[in-house]
Amino acid sequence: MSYIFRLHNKGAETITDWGSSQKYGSAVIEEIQDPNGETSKKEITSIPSPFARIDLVKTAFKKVAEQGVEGKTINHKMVSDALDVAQIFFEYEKFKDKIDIIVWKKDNCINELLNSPFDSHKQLGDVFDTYIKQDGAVYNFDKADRIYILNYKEGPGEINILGATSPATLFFSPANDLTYCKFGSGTDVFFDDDYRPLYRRDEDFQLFLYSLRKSTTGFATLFPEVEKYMVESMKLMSPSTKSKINAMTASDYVNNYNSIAVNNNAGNAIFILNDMEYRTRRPNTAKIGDVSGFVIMSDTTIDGKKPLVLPVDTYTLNTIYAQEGCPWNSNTKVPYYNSTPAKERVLPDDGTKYPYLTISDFLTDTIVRMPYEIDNVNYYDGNIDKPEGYSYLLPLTDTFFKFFTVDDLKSRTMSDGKKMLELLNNVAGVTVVLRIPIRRNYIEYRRTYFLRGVTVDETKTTNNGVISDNKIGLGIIPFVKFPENVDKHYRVAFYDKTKTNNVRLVFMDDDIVSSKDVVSCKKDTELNLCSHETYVVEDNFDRIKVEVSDSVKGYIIPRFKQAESKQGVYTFAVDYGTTNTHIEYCTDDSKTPKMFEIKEDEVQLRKLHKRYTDPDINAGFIEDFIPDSIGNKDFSFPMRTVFAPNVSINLDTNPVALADGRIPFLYEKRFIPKWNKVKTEMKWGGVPDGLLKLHIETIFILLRNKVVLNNGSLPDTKIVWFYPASMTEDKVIKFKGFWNEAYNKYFGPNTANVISISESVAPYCHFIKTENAKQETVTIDVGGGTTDVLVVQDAEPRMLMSFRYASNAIFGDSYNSNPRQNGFVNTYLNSFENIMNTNNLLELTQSLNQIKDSNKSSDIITFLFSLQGEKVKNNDELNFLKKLQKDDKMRYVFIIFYSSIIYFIAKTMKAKGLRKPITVAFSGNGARTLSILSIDTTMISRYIKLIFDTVYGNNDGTIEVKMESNPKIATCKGGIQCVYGKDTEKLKTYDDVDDIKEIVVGDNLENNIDRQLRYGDISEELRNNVVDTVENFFAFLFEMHSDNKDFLTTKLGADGAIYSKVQEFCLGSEGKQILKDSMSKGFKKKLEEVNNEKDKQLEDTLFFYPLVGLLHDLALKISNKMQ
Amino acid sequence: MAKLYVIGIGGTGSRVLKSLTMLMAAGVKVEDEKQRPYEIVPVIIDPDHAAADLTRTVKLMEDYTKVYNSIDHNSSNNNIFFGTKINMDILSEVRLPLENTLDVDFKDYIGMSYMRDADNLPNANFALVSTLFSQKNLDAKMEVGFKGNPNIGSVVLNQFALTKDWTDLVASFGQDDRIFVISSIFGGTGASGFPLLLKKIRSVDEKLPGCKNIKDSIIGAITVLPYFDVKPAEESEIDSSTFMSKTKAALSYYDRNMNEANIIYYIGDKQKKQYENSEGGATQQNGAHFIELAAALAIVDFARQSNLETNNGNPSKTYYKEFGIRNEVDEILFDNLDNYTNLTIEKPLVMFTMFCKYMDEQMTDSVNKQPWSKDLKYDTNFVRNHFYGVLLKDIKESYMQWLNEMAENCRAFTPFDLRVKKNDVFSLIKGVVPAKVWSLDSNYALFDSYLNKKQSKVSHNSSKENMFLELFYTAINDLVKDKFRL
Repeated sequence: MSYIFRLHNKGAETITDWGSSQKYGSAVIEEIQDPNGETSKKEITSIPSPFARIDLVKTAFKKVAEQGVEGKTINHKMVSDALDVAQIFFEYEKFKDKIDIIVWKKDNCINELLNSPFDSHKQLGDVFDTYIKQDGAVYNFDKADRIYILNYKEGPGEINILGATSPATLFFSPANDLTYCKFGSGTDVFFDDDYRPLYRRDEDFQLFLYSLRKSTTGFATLFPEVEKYMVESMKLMSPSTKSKINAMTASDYVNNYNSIAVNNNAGNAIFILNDMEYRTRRPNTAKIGDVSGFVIMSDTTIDGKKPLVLPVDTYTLNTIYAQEGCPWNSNTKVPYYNSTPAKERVLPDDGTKYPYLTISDFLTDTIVRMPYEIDNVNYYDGNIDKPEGYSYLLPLTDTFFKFFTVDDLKSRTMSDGKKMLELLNNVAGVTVVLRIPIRRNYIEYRRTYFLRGVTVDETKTTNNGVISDNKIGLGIIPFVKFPENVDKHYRVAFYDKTKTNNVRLVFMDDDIVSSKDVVSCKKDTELNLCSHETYVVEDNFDRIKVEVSDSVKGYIIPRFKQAESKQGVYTFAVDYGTTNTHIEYCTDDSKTPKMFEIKEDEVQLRKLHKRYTDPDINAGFIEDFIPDSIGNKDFSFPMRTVFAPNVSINLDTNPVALADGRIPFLYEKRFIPKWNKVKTEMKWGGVPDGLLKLHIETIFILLRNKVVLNNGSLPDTKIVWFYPASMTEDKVIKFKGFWNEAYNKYFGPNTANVISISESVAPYCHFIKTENAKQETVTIDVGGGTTDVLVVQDAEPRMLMSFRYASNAIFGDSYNSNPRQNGFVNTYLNSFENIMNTNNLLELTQSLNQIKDSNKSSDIITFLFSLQGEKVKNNDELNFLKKLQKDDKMRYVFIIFYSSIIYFIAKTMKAKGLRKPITVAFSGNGARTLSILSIDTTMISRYIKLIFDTVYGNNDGTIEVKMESNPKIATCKGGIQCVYGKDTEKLKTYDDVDDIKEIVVGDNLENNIDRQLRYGDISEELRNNVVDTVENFFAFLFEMHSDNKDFLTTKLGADGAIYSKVQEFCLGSEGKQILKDSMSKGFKKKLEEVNNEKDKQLEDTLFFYPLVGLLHDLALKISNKMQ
Repeated sequence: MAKLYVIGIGGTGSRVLKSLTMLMAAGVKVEDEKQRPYEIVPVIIDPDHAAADLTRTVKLMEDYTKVYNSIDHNSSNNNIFFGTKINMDILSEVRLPLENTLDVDFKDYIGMSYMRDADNLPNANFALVSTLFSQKNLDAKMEVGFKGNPNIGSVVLNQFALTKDWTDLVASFGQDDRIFVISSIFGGTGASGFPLLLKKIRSVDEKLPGCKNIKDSIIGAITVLPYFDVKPAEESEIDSSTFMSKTKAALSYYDRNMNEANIIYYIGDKQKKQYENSEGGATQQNGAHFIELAAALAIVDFARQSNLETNNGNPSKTYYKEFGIRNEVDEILFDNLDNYTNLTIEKPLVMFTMFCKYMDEQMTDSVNKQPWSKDLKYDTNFVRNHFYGVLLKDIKESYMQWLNEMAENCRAFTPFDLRVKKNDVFSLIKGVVPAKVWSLDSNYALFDSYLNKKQSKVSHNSSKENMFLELFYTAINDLVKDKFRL
């Protein structure tokens, strides 16, 4: 046996010298032992052809098919890389943003080289030409006119070739390190060190390649190595895949796959060989929604697809990403922010265009921090770990709420019980944890918002957010969610002390809820004033978006109580008086009237925060809205009838109650902010009707909220209101209109529930029911503007009277006077101011100063009356009523006032043939001053009986005077008792009342007292007669005094020292002139009030017109030290 | 005389050409089957400008040619030392020139930066080049060959096809001329030049004069497979651990793509010596190896083949040959070679070795003393002149070095005991006991006596140089017949 110089062990063993042998074909080559076991990872470069790479890949397929498709050799790498290239082409649609396809056209490109001015190009062209011709048949160069080259646009170089079509092996890759290419399919990162054989790739891709094979005639001849590889791969694939392949027909390829539109040119498909097209996956993104574990757990879709929610941090839970069998690769980088609209987005590393969402789609870049502790009972606090101190607007985006509801946010929990949102305070700021439920588990997003050192744009790259500090106050009235069938009326109090810009609120439910923003006080950003705003919202909402700026936004989520409209019927009685307003109410359970209150569990205005340390915001809620509670030492009914519209109010533009105006609860207590224009004397035409309506509506809102908060029935609510009998019918109708309108708006269309009762009748009901009054009763309701009188005999209302002669006749400015000419103001104001100063009642002083500005004595006096109890620290020195009770001189004014009323009633009764009453009941706020006559009620009774007896000329019977300790409430209580009692049913309508109403002309009080006169009938002579009648009264009064042991001074304690001067003043020429002047001024004013309609029937007696002037001047006289 | 174009590609090509030259110097003839001699046209394709192998070989062939030209080649001469013509006139240099490979990397060489479209963006050719060639390929400097990247070589070497020398070569090609291509499969230059060369020949530009002859020529080729290793070096592009995988890949390529040759000789050896790692240049000077000698013998064999045929550029059949010896030994002696091999080389090598040893060991002692020297005036002047003092001496030095290198290599070809043994001159051939010659003289005295005996018989009509070689050849011829029965 000879020794042959060869590396293999095959073939003839007997060769000597140069002897015949055989070609080194594959069998021989196979026999050559490679000491490195074919595991060398170095790229092989020894093919002597410019197309070496194509050849190497061809060899690699063969080797791998022979050695087993799994392996770590360079050949396995080349096959794996070639398959990666094939897969990129197959998934072209997915990856086309990342790649260009460059087409190398054989003839054109070689000619270009051959004709180039550069020798080097000519040479290369010549080589290409030589090899393509010589090796054409081996590599199918003769069957392919083009090579399609993949350029990765995001690679490091000018161009970054990932691979190309190969006419020999379908595809091949260059011998470069392509690990910069970080994308792939599923968990398979292309071109990495994990060589992935075909059978372990995406099943769709496998099926596609086998389909291509099936459709290509002579595939095995054209691509013998690939054929072999595919046969081997098939042995390892799953039976189900195999059976799908076996079921394929040749036409499936064209039917199931799309042509690749090279670089978006539809006519430009890819051909491996001239008659062998390489196609691409037919986009089936719906499948992603079916298989992905990252599908959002929400019914909302984007473009009909359920988006994926992708993790931005390491996510290791085994979860299918976009394709079946391909779990999430924890190396996949999802951007924190993506400016592309979700529906246009391309899945990271997968390349499919399919909507997905990332952290910045849900969390804002800036969180708004407020230096107040949130009221987390009533507002959702985002599960903040440390609620004390600062609170935050929820840094959620609109997108979040497209997918999840407020209820989801508040109560949905993750599979492990964790909450959807958490706010975790830390030294640097606050970390927000948001958990978005996905099909498989949930995605946890974390973003830390920093106090400093971070700019807004950084969110996009570092995920760090910014904290923006803002002073914002907010409250919602009422704090309920209305039932669907009920009209919704919300007022949202909003205070914005942001330095730079104006903050806006947007109310949201499923969509944006329309709202109206009424700004009471505009913010001056320079001076850093606080803006006072009211948002009027007339629909339910479940969240408020706070737009701090165009880019900074956040949400507030109230935890509304769900209101239920139940059957509970509320009845309210509103005594809308000239000076004071009182409200009583009752419920089904108890018909007993109770004073209107807002209890602790009925808080109508719920503030976002527990306490506002900012004084502007803190005060704003009461200045502009309503106190937390009413019915306590600070705020309780009866209250001053006062209204505060915005300075800027325009009544022509449909102003809104509790937005364009409000009840200034702080009136007479504190300075009222200057943007509120306080209005008193609302009742008698002192203000435009629009304001009156707003005031009534504001009251209605309070009532409505109480009903709603207590689950009462809005449409069944009854509202009782009162009118003085002296009010003309047209005026009553106008008022009725206001009340009905307001009812319609806030309670419902059933305005039969709005009940109007005469101010004269109501107190009677009360006294009958609760004060045990006798059935022979006269009730006298003394208000600020009118006195209403009802005479009942034999339990029947017999006579009703009403006249504009009440509290203001004593304390007011007569006709056209002013506080400087007011005796009470003169006497008391200075000393009260001094006492207030001495006692450091600064707020009250400010309040008084403001009231003084109104230039109305009645307002000043009312203020003085309000100074009692806690408000003045129980300082009796400031108790005006007590002061007056001790003022013996001024007592004459009150004596004349009450005497004239009783005298007038007694005279009229006598003229009408009515018997003397057994009970005389006083009500009304004005009646408080009755005690000035005497603090002893018996003495008052005696005095009243004395007048009745003197008029009637006998002293039969007894008269008992009755009075509520708080006389204002009798009307309201009576009103309610009227509604639920039978006694006075027929007196409820104006007509009923009108039937028994007596208009005593006043020119005499003896006979023919109630002639039907019109204003045009009132002559000067008649007016002079009235003055005479008043003089007769004075004569009567002083005579009665003298006849009864100087009753006024001895029994009632009036200062005897000035008795004669008073008498002289009243009966003398000075008095006469005053009476005359007052008569004509009063009458003139009345004419103005009735618009000079002379045909109009006389509304009330003329008897008191002269007395108004006289009382005013008498008081002034007394204050000027009547000697 | 028909020409045999021996095209040596890369380092291996040069070394085989050297072995061929040594054999021809020793008298091995390159003849056709009818014993008509070929003149050898050496062509070297190697961009490795400074390669020591190349330089040595060219110098040797130049010396050889000078010697050849100094002697008569008519039939009256017996001498066959330097008996075959080496034609170095067709090409301006022996090398096919490869230019622009100094200090140039591949991407610049192919003008990649100019492959741009109207918008100055990389065009399709740029992209294709980026796909076919790795970045390492593109950045490779080429002055030292292709560092085992024959795909680069296939492009760069193509340059020769665009040169005047190539045109001249094609034009010079006669109808009966043949081509023999030497290349190694595992390196850079050889591996890439070989397929390229064959493809260029078979698809020769039909506009070139004489293209028909070369296109249809008979082509033989030897593919030298690995027979040595290179010491691993961290930064070297040459890594012999990949020699085998490269070889196999290239063989596969040949298997599929090479059908241009009429006959292919394969040789390689499993027992391999490790050389110093050299990427080329002056340091790339590997010791001569028996494989190269065997490869040179393939040329001799090829010349004798008669049944080869090419039609329209396609060989009608491709033959394959391998080289065998009688048995596997680490140190090859003549005894181990096949008879046929010995028939070709034993006697010439023995004779030329004896000639060289005489020149080395005895000439100085015999000049001006021995009758053959005195009578023929081969005096001190002669041994100092250019012919002897430079040419023969240089060739002798090279030859002895060649033998020594082969003897020291692994596997060793060590048929001679080359030690200076003036008392035992004829124990030269290992394993051969010289026969007793009936003479009073021995050793170099015996040698001289043969020379003296022959001096009168040498024709005195020729040049002194011719006579000198004729004298020695005939004397040694008798001597080896008597002493070694050769």
